[in-house]
Amino acid sequence: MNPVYFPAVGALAVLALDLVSRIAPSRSEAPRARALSGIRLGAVAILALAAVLLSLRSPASEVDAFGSFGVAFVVVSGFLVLSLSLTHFGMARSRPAEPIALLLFSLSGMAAAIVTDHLLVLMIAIELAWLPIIALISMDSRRLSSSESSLKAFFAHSFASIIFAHGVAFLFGATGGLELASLGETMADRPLLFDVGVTLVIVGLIARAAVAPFHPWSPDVHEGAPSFVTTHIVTAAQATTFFVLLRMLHALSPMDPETTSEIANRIPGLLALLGCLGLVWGHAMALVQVGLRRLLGWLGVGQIGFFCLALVDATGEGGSALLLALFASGVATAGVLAILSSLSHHERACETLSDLSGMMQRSPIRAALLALFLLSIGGFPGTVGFVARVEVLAALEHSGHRGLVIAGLGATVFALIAVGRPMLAILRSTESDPNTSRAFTNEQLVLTLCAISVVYFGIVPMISVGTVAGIFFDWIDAALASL
Amino acid sequence: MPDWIDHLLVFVVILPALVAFGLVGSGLLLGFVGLPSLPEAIWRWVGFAATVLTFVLMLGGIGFGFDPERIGFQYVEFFGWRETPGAHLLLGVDGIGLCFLVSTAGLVPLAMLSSHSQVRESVRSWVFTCLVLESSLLGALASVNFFSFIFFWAMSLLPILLWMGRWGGVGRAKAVSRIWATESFGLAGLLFVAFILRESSLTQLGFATLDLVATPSISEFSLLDVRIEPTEQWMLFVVLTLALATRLPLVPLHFWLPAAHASAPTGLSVLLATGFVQTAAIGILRFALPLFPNAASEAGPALSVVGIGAFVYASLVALVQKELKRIVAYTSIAFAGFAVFGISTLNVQGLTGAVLQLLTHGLAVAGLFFLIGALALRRGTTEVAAFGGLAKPMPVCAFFFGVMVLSLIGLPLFGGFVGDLFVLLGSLETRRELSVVALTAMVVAASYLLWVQRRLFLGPVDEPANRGLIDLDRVERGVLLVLTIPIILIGVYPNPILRRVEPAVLEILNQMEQRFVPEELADPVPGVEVVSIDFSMLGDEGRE
Repeated sequence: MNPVYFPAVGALAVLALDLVSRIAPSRSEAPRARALSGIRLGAVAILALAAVLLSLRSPASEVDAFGSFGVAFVVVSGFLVLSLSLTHFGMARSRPAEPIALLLFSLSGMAAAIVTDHLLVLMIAIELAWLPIIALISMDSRRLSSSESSLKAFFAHSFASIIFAHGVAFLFGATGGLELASLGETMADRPLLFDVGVTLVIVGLIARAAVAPFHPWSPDVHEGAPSFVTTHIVTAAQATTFFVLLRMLHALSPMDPETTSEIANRIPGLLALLGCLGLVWGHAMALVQVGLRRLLGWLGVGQIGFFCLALVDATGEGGSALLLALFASGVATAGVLAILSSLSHHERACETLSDLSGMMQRSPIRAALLALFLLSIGGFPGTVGFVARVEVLAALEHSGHRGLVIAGLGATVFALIAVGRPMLAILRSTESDPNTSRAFTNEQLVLTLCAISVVYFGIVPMISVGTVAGIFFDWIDAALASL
Repeated sequence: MPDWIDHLLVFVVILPALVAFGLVGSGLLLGFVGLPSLPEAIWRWVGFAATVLTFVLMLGGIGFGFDPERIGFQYVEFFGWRETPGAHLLLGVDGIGLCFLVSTAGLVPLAMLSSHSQVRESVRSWVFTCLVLESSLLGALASVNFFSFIFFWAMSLLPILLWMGRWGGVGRAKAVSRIWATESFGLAGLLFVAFILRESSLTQLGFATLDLVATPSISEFSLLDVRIEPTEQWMLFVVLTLALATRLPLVPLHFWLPAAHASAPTGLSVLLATGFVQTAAIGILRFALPLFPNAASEAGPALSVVGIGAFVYASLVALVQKELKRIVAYTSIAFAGFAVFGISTLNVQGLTGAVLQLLTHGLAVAGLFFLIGALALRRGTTEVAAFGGLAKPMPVCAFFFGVMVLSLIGLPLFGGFVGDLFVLLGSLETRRELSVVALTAMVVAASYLLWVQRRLFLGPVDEPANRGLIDLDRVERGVLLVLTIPIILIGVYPNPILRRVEPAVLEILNQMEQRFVPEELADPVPGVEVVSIDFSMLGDEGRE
């Protein structure tokens, strides 16, 4: 069985279990029954994700090394998201069946998008991945911003879908086929149609990844969506789009350079332009934000600019740098969101920079972890974010794009200054209420995993052999070699 | 010599950090088994003992084991990190590094001791911060790989910010913001240079390296074997110097320092004025000069003007300051400019003088910060106008203040004199006109420092609050005595320091000479065709 199907099967099982529990209500008290139901559903979801990971190891799975890496990436992020979602279910006291099912459907769509080699399947898979996310964004019925941001995301998604669908249609018209792998080998009968088609497909993808100038929905979603949904977007959804882009750019660059289409040569320039735009726009806006989640959203726009720069050299060292950067961004942002989630258990939610005042006194461990994750997002030495930035910029320098290196370093300065503001707020002392809520066990788990990843892959992994980091980097290399 | 001696430098550098993480680990372990965490007093004393042990090992092991006759880096130790970025930990020590390492290792326990009474809350975090800061500073001073230099450079920033942000005084938020913003630019500049150097080494050597020393286990080549064209040298030298100047700090990138000193606790001010600044100086001496000799020699006159300009400007600004810490901060900026002036002379006397000047003025400025901290503790203010006639109630304080001021103004038999003399000797050789300006600026510096001395300690005791001030206690006297001894020793008998510094300076100049790309061998200007003549075609007659 293709590993892609497991999350979808898991989602159906979750819905079925929930249906059974509704038909035959439990005799125990309502909260207890709800908790037991949540544990059962969570267990099913975890089993489904574990099944994906196990099946990826099987030689019978029809997935190449790149697909395996990508699917494993989104599935592991799915574990983190599921873990964080427990806080939301506990707070909102809502039935967890629908959100878990939506999450699993979304993961199934992402896995399908990563492994597929067919444009039509890709289109459907992306819809399957994103429509549940839009529903999940609007889940927090207590906040108006949740519904509002969901609507914005829906419009942005619709726009991207239309563009992408037109691109697929044009490509079919130009080449008569929809196989992704053959894009680079097919000498199109109608080159203009082909060029327009490729451009639209690429734009359709990057519009969904919140690449500037298609990003305005992203900070709103950061502000409005529940933390676990935002984590899902910035880790799995974002990474999926870039996995697909990477596969597509490899497909457009055939082994024989003479057969490379005109548009394939122009795409790096387009990506460089959009990347620089994202770096400037994202980091400049991050400098003036007061809301923590919006700040994170704008930093995310800047980071996506970095991903675009890595794609400029997608077929060279930029590919591996991109995969590392996606990992770095994912763990650091997930860590920040887990902290914000843990600080917002009670009425006194942590939403603005001033809410962080006195955190160093009240909860020094979480303050230190928040600083660590922010430093990683800013690309400070000793963190995985730094290693990822070095890899991206080294790839650009190696491929002769010194101007982009300077742009990237300039952006790093602004990113560091932007993350410095919440760090400064942490250090401020305050005479506020010392009864801060403790992080739940599920949040502690996510924080521990993210912190270990940020530090380990920032410092220790440089030791070349026999380490987890070595295995990880080898896996990245093998994944890219399979493209 | 036993094998473990070879690893001593690395051990000394990481010892404070090891102790810091060990203390944290013990706390977690005790918490896990349900026992209370170690008392704050134990943290304090273990941390202090670790810094003292670090100093003892640095002075006794590295300092006395250092061979002054040997050219190049000693105690070189390599840790294999991932090879692709050319990034790994490579530590070593030369005569210049040795001076700064011993000075920093010696000042950290003094800084901890002086902050003993000031830090009352979150003592465990403070001890952790001090220890990590020490390891970071020592690591940066001992790095002979550009990447590890950047790594430790950046790592030293975080404890500084934490110390100031958590235990600092009024205006700390502004100070922390300024340091963070300035250092971010500096870090980006360092990274830019690292990328270009890495790429150049990859192109020319076939592998990426950022080492200054060829390590046989990796390769027989180092960064010093990479040829960098003069035009590229200019760009890299300017970027690297600007990046390092943010921390030195050189005018006009100095704006963070007065605010930082004004709000920093005494111990932090001491380390800011010494180890923190010395990491920037070692960056210039160890990386900027040998790697970019063409640019360094061509930019020498401009750098001299900037250095002297900074000296004059900061001295004049110090004249109008009304707060003690700000006066000393501007003194620090002024003498950083003077050190840059010494470096820009690019001769043995000038460079040696700059190193000695950074060392001795660092000690004297540290002493002044200790004394200002003691005054602030007793009087609750550091405004100059609040003091007067303190020599009567506080004669010991007045004595030590006088020693530090006399060293700073460069009086013979005090440490500052040797550095100033060597810088001026160097400048007379290559920058004769500017040396006159330097001398004038030294008079200005002397005037405001002596004015402060007079205003604080001489004359009648005007303020009633000053009459009952208690003189320095035993701990404070001990701290200042420890600082005074090297100042006097260097002033009276500088030979042991000179014997170690001069070979290192000669090695830098030698490397510059070897790597200097003559104009005729530089890459031709694009678009201009260079015609080469094959003399072998002409025979002996044509060759003549």
